[in-house]
Amino acid sequence: MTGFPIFLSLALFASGAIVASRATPREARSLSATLAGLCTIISAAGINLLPQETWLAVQGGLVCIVTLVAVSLSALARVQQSTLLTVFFLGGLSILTTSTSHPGALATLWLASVGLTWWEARKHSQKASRLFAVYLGTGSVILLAGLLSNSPGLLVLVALSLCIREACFPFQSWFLSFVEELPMGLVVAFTCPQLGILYHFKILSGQLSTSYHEELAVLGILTALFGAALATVQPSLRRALGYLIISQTGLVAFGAEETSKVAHTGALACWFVVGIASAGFAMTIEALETRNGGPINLEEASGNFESMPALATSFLLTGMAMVGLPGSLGLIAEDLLVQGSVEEFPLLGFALIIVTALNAITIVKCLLKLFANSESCDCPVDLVPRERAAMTVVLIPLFFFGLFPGVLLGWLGGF
Amino acid sequence: MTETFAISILLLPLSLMVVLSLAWWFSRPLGEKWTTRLVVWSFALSAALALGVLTQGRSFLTQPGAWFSVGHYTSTWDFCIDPLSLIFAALTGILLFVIAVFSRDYLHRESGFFRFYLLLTLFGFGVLMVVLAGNLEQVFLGWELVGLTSALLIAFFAHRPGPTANGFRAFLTYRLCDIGLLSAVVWLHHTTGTTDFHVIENDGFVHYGISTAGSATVIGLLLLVACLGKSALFPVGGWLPRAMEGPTPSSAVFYGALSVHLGPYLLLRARPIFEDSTIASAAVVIIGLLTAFHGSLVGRVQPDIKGALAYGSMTQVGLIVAEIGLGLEWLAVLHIVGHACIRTFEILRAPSVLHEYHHLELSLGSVLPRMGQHYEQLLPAKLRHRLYLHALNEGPVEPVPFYLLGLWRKMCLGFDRWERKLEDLFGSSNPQSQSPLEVIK
Repeated sequence: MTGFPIFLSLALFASGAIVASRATPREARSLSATLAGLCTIISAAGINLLPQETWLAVQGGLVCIVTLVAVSLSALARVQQSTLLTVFFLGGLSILTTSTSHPGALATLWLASVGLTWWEARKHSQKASRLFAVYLGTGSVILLAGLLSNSPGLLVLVALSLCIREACFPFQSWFLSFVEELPMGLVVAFTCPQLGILYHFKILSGQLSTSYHEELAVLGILTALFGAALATVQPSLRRALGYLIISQTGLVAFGAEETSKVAHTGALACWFVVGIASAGFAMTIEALETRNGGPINLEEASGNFESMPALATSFLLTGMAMVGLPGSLGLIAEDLLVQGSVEEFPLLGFALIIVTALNAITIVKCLLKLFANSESCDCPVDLVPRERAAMTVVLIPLFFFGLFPGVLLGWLGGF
Repeated sequence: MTETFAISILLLPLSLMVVLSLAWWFSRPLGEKWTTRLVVWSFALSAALALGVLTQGRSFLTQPGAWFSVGHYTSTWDFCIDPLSLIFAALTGILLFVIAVFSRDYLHRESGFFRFYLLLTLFGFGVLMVVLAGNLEQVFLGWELVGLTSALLIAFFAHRPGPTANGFRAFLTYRLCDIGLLSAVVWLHHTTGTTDFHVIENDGFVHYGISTAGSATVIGLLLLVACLGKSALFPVGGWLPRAMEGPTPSSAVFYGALSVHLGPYLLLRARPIFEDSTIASAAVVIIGLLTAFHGSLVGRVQPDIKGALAYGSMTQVGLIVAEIGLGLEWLAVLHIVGHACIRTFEILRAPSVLHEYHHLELSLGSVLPRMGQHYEQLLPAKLRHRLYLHALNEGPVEPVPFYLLGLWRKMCLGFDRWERKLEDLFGSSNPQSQSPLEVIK
């Protein structure tokens, strides 16, 4: 482990501890936003000041942005101090994971993040926590067996556990319930850093035989197609989000199996985009639910763009950035992924184009359902300054690196 | 200097869009007066620059630099400056200038005034990006922006269900057809190593690889699929008349002038590919003629002026596409310019057309004579009746997408039900209540 990630993760752990000591959830959330903002500034400074640790600082930056948006847009009705503490701790654990490749440390960090999330999930939903325990518990046992056996032949077990963690088809059942029933901040903190993909890069890259890589690539694209198709018809907004994230993660998993440099960099860029954009997108949904007073059914939903323009814009920009909006980093990631993968897996590369089209259709459908068809709205509160500041931090890297991708691609090349 | 001017055609709306977006995001939106002024001047300058460069009579490809590069893959900013792109850029600047001036009064004090101008600027940037692009990747960039802004402007009056449903239908058609464009980009890059227009033109597509004839056909057909959506060609053009529910100025510039002509522009740009494939060229001609026939037929039974104008646009675009397929490129360019200008004028005047008819009839002292009754004069009564019914139903293909969407929905919801059962099995507090066998059943 190197110095900067440890420092950053300690800052997040300390922030969590401070937040947990606040008297009310409102106070805790305000302080959380400030502390997560400070951590984000530190990570940005690290990118500029520590050239030898740039890649680690970039990963730290991603985790800090995810944490910032997760705490800033959390709904007070569902968030307690313990939830915010968990979000910060998950952030800290994610950063530590980025900084080590030691199997024992990776296994410990995996168990810690799964255990912590399960502990918090139990307070919110029995069904979700049970499904989480069944799938992720099994995944953890398989991971431990694969990692600790130290045998290359058993690496396939590691691959299987990563598929479970990333909710790849057919192991996605836990994830839908997880997204539907738990506070979005917790979902975002556990899901958006996409640690499964990082584990993949750290442990499996170049280790598995070619046939396994091909099978995993097929599994990735199947997951992406499955998620994209089912997202288009969901009446529940949260469930649609769950399928969307499954689909986008499937794309990243597909790219991770590529051996060409172009596709590999595309997968890393996709990992970065999906991490930040899906966090922003998921939290705009939480913000909408707060204003709606509960979960949103897309078949009954109606809203008014004029009363929530910034929220609608955030929803559109983060959602479309995930699927390749021109001007965003998503387009670059998608381009690299498609161009790189066509050489190795031509048919799967074209399937990827269909996936992004379907996901874009889902996002625009949701946008028009949520922000249209109503003369007036009972919930006319747009993004408050705290939320707007967090969304600005989300949008800056998505569009800055979309226009000037060379900088980020240079950093990703260092991985 | 000429290169700087040429790039400024595109940079003007881009920089304006950034300024307007940032001002709005940070809660400092400009007032109506300043918004209009900036947009009007931006497009006026773009048009003037395009005309200025056009008068110099030079054709060149300018490469301001690489956008990004990974391994052997490099994406560069290429701008193709030639009479074709400059004519389109000038047309875009002029028409958007007119629309921006017209909308100042038309949308005065409308709650979405600023949103309209922001989307119009974004659209202008998208169209200019498509017409000045020197490679297909950049075309795709502008193409997507045009599609998104188009859908958002159709749904401009978001409090009514009709416009939002129609906006979604337009986006659905665009995005599905855009699969063709992106696939063509990837296939072309994979086959030839480049998507630059100048390389295709100078080297001749036929010299690439061994399976070039087959590749040219595949790429040509994929590009045609992309044009089907954007230019509302047969059989997917049902969204076009419904798109007229947006504000009149945006309907005029999108569906009368610029957006619908981007398909023909792409076909003109990719001409060398079609020259190497008889099958793709024939498909272009057939689709064009079918669209013209369909638009002409269905347009005759439209009860409202905007619907009739939309089908009129469809008819003309179909003819333009057929001209391109037949190799009459410059006739197609003239046709596009004339049609875009006249159709914009017609759609802008559409809200007052009843008043004008009334005025004309009062001046003439009689009812205006009916015109354009070719089918009535040429066809037997029985066939006319059949065609009338066909036109009323908007042709046999109109219900097909709804049928397919219904099937899609049914299939996906079936998978989702199975998924929910699995969740209940593992997530329920009494796991013995349902066996895995029951779930599979």
